[in-house]
Amino acid sequence: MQASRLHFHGRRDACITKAATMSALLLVILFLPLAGALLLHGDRQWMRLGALVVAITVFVLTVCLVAQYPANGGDELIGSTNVSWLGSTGAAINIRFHIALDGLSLWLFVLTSLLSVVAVLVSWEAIADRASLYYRLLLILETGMLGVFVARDIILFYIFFEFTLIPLFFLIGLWGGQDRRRAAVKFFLFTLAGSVLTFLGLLAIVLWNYYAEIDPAQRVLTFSIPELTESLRIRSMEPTLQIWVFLALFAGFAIKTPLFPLHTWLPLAHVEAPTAGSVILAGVLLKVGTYGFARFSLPMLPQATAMLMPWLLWISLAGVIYGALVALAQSDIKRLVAYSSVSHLGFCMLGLFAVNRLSIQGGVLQMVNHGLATGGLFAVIGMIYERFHTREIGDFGGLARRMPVLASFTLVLTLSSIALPGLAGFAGEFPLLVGVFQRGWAEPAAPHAIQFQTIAVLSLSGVVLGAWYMLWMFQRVFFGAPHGVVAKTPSFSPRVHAGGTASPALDNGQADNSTRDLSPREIVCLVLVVVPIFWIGLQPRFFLDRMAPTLDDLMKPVMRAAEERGGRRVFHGLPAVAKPQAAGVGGEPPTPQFQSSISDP
Amino acid sequence: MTTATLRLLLPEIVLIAAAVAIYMGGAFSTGKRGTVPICRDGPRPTFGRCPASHKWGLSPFSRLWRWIAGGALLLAAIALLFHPTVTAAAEPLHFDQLARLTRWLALGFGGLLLLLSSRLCSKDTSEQVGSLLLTVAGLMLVAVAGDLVLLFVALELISIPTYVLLYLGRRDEASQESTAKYFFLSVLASAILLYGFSFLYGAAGSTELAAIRAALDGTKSLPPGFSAFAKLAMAMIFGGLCFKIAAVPFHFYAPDVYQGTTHPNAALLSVVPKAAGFVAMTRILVVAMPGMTPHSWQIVLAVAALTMTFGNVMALWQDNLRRLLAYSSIAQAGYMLIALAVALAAGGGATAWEGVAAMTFYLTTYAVATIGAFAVLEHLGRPDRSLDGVDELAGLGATRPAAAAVLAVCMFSLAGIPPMAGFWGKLLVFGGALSVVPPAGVAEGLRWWFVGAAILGALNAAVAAAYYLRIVAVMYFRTPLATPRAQGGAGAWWAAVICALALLAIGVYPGMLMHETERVSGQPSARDIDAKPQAAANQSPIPNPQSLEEGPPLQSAPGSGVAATTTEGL
Repeated sequence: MQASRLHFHGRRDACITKAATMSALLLVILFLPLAGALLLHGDRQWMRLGALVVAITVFVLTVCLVAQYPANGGDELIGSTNVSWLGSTGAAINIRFHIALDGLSLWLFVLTSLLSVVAVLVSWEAIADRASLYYRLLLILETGMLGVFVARDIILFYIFFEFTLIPLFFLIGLWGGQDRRRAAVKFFLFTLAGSVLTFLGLLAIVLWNYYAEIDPAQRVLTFSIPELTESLRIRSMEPTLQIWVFLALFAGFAIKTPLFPLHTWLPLAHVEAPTAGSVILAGVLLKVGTYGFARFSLPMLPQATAMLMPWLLWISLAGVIYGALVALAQSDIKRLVAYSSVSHLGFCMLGLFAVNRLSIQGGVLQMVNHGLATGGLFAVIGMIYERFHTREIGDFGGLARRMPVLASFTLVLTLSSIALPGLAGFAGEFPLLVGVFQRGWAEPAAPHAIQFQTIAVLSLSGVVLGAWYMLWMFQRVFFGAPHGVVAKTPSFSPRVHAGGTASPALDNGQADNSTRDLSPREIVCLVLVVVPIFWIGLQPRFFLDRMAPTLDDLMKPVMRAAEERGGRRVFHGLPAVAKPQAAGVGGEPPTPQFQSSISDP
Repeated sequence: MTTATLRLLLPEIVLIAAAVAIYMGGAFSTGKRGTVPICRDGPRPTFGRCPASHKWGLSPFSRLWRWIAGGALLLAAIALLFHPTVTAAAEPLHFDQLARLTRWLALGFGGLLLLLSSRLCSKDTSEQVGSLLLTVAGLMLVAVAGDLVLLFVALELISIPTYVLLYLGRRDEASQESTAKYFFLSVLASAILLYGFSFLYGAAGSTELAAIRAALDGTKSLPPGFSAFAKLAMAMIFGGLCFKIAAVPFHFYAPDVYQGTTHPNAALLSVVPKAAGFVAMTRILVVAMPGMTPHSWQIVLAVAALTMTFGNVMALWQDNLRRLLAYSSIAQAGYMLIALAVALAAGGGATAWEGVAAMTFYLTTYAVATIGAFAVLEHLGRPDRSLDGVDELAGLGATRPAAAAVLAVCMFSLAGIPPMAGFWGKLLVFGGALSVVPPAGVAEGLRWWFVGAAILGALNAAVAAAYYLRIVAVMYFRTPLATPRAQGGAGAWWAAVICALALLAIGVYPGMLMHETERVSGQPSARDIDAKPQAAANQSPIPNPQSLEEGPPLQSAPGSGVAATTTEGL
């Protein structure tokens, strides 16, 4: 309500008032879940109601805030709060509490608050023991995730980035499946091992920027992400150093994403996590890794990205194909969807690393799409598991006859996941692939053009494989005559009731419950996911218009670096050098003003 | 000794006077000394604890001694609060920010340790409390000592009461063995240290740190062979102090001794000698021997790398909680040594103090987390058996959620996970290591050693998270075997809660503590809060290469603690 009033008030009268209101709104959105976690008390009934109210409030406020974001308005920050955090007591490290939304984080931010509502809804019946702790952790996690996307201070970002580990660790470890303890510990340690190196990389960026200023009197130690991005654009880091820093950042972000050889924690964590945990993990937390690449690696280390591009694309492609092939071989639905995440995030990274306007836009949009589709699929799997207590594909068959509503929703999610035109997946994947092809056949030809072309062609196989395993799974579970657990458990429909009252299974109240089609709560939960899927699918412009200006601005240096790297070798006719990296180092950096930190006395 | 000096040392004097009074009173209060039983009824407590039903134990005085000790700590704090601003007194004492901060920390740790041991009850209460006060006084004296002799005496003032405490802690064979082990190794370390001091005196011709600094700063030519003496002295002193901080070649005692003693004693051992060791290292390596830095940073960095790696890897396999925390405290010393190496690599200029600031901050967060962890364990223990095994924590999240939460906060802080205080310590240490700028005349390669150390440290942090997380996982994810009795006393519980709250508060708002530690690089005098810190030195925590161009280190920072103590001492 407050936000809708804001909409009328803050038009023209007072820009400042409007900005202040939006800042306040963003602060409220960020800390409302945390406050809810600390203040809510009560038993299961009240806690889940309270958590739902908080999550919905946050979502509504988020929508109100995001509605204020201008389309094609340039690279704009809204809801900015920038106050001194450490410096206020005189500490010399000026780490600030700086939060704001820009085009890159906008939709991921909305996605987070949306999936938090979904997460509360899917836990409604499933979580019975220690529910109050559960919902508290869920709300704390929401604050952590929202914080990752709004942080504009590099240390604040890292704090939120790491902080998400603790609640999710407990969510998986306390409410997970059979092997939950191992899954929780593996998830935590894998992610932490990478992110400590990321931390060093982030510190290296900050410190390099500090020493890059030649005049000591002018040196300012800034942790602000916009300032660092701007500063690194003016004088870019020395290429070899860029590669080292890139690798340090890569360690954390690639594990989180996860990219191909580093993905082993993901299937375990996804399968063992409770439904809400899987939804959040797949929907939001994997995006934290890709977001990290888009926020730090690409804009701040353009030359390194350009130099490592073939490697990065090959790794992403390996993830696409490997994830798809492994998903094809799974017999557990949840595991299948988990591996499909590896494949889909490979696509996202393919888009980002292809460094092309279309592919980057597609990649970022694909992050949101994957969050919606896969988050929805995990919710569906949770609903199926609650009814049949199995996730083996072989146990199912003909589920569509018994549960048509569930089947329809699942079909939409599946089709979005395999990028059917008109649904969200297509809106992301199509520009992404076009961008990848443009990279391959770019003019002038890049030195690695043949590699890029191979990658582009092979990436199509990911689409085909994706359609194969998803549709095959859908067919085996939902179509055909009911058999397996579906046939064994009697239908809820009165007709079957009349015929089968003698069935022993009916004595079991749970069995009676088990084939009930979706409850209104579950329908709401899936509608929340499906509506944006259609919206993005049918009107992608609306979403792209709001993020494109920011992306264009952020990615300018890296696109220039990629072009220069492609172009120079052809135009200047440099002899083919055995090591592409070495040649890149020798090449003149795009900005003449670069300053080596090593040669700094 | 003038009355002015007495006033300056009033906090220490109060503590020592109280300790002596408690010792003396204890001798007259218990009546039949040396007779058993220690507690009136029930089984004889082998762990020196009194069951909850026994109230405060046999001696009505044991409560009195605690109150006196607490009062003495409070008085000392008041004395420190109204500590006179130091003019240029010609005394071998430092009253810079490092001393001021360390003295406050010592009092704080002393209070926490006193709370922590509140359930220890035996006829020896007076000895226990008195010894604790003496170690606190010793740590405070180490902080102010500006003379080798005073420094050594202060370090012994920590060591000797510790022997007594270790012996009093438990009365079983493991305890006897660990006490003997600690005693002999500690004496050996003291001997090495003293031997190093003698070489240092020989090389510099004075026992005052300021004079040593002046003699060894490289501007005067020493007689042939004397600089070798100085190097030898540096190595020996560092080795002797490595024992105090349990750094790698001298760490062997720690796991055995921790395992063989009680939780309160283990807490004391992991905090007080370690703090004293680091402060003494700062005084000698950074303040007195900056001329040795081309060599000292290499030794310190090597020891740091070994210490953290060895400690973390060994901790992975431990099943005894005190042994695990012993290895943890070894590993944590490694991170602090990185910060010390950063300070040394700066070559003694004002920038050196940035490393010291990081070290002090890290030390504080480490100490609070460690005391908190031991306090929870002590609280969960029983009169006749302390909580020893990691497995005994199983299901604590369900059976004793508050205790589990406090211990989890301490573990996450030690692991350096963001919303806890430990994260900021790691930020400062790694940030310092990444920003080392070699002083003039030192090879560029120096920088990469520190980058390597930061990477090794970060990887170590990930390894360390494995065993800290194991404790959390055992507490929350395992089914409870039995509910711990939690008869360790309210004091231990309050100490634990205070520590956990402090960790969270520092984690959310680290600015205040960071500012206090940063000021070790700023003004020298004790209560100089109003004075604006030096702009150049305080603009950033990163060593500022500007000062490196300003000539020899001694003259480089007129406002820094180093230079000030020099003029003061002379």
